[in-house]
Amino acid sequence: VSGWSQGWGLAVTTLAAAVVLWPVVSGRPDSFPHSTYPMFAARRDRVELGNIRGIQLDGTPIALSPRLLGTGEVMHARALVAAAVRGGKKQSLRLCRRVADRVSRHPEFASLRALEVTLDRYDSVRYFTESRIPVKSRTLAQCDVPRAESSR
Amino acid sequence: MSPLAARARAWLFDSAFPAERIASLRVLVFGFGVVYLAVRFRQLTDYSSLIPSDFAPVGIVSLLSAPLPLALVLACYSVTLLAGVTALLGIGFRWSGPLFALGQLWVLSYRSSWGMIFHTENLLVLHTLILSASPAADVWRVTSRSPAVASRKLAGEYAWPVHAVSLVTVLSYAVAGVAKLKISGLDWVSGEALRSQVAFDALRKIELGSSHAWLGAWLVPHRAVFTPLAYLTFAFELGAPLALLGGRVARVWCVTAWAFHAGVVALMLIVFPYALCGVAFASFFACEKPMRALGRLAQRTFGVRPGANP
Repeated sequence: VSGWSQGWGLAVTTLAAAVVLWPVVSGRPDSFPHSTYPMFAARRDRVELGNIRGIQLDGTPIALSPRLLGTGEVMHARALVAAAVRGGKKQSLRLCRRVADRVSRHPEFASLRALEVTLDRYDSVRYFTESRIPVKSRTLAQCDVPRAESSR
Repeated sequence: MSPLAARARAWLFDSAFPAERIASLRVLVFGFGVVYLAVRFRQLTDYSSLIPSDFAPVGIVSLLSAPLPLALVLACYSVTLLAGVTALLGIGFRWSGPLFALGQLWVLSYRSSWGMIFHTENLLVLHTLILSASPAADVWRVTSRSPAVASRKLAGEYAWPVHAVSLVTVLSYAVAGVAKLKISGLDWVSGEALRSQVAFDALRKIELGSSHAWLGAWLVPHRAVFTPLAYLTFAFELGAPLALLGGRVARVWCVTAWAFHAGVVALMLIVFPYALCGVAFASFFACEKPMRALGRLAQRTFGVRPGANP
């Protein structure tokens, strides 16, 4: 193996290894394409979950599909809601109206009269062993689903 | 040269691999990358349903302060895909390989810059970057030249990229184990952290109106199941560097890694396609052997033949 080839190989290998090890030593555990996968490292017993629900005409809440948030990925949808919830009532209301506008364009959601953005606190294990009701729930935003007059 | 550097040098270069080994890795990794990008055309190019305030750049995309116009996103994607096909065929690999690797890094980083990082793509990107910087297209490439180099040539310069890919693979799993130690300590092996993660994952999917892993949800009330699973996970992740010893140890680790990812699908419905299809672990095997048969078929069908870089 030529000296140049050895030097190049060592440099590329060292750089690649450094990129992978970087999040451990830098204290910034999560980026791309390197991560320590911190989401799998900590306990998730008591969790807060930003959520957006549809409220049907009879007042029953239902979960909304991630595609109504503009993505097919449930984790991405969750991240979008979480970002809005972190931004407070104003950003939550913006998200609520944006999704409501999208809901209004889908005839299959004609039974939805409103949406609400909530911050729910759960005990994740208890959710499957006792009750699926949040330990605590706070409504950050509510908005009506816009409907054309003719469809009422 | 320090003893450590001397040992690293010996490990990287003293073994002699056939040129076909990294060529087969190129075909597998770049082939996976091309298909991965192609089938995700819409997700990787259409960000119209997201708003600029959702833009949270990560990695290389942190160079941007605002989202790119759609035309530029499409252009990046198209150039990357074209470079990927070209590099996969081994045409002009010295530029097409790095262009695809950097393009893929950009396109996938951009996708992860909207509030959700897609960790499932980490290894694919890193492996592609390493192979793009190696002589991975010395053989098994579409070329108009006559074959000038024996495809079975054994050389150390074909060994280091294979070892580097394996090193990055095991380090990725090891750092995940180290993070568990740093964040939760040895308490992680009690299984409670894993149990709560499985529960939380199913909970959020149920609440967000998506499908969840019914097996994971069903197992949450059974606490005892999670302790052995946590031990196995810890041993698999922290023991990952042992796979660099090669041979049976590497094979056992690779099978365990595949089983780990299959378990993650069963318990959390999180799919790591690059690992599950086995390409992520191909560097631990003499993957050129099964590929030779495919290569011969390709030679007959498409005129692919071994050749040397100018």
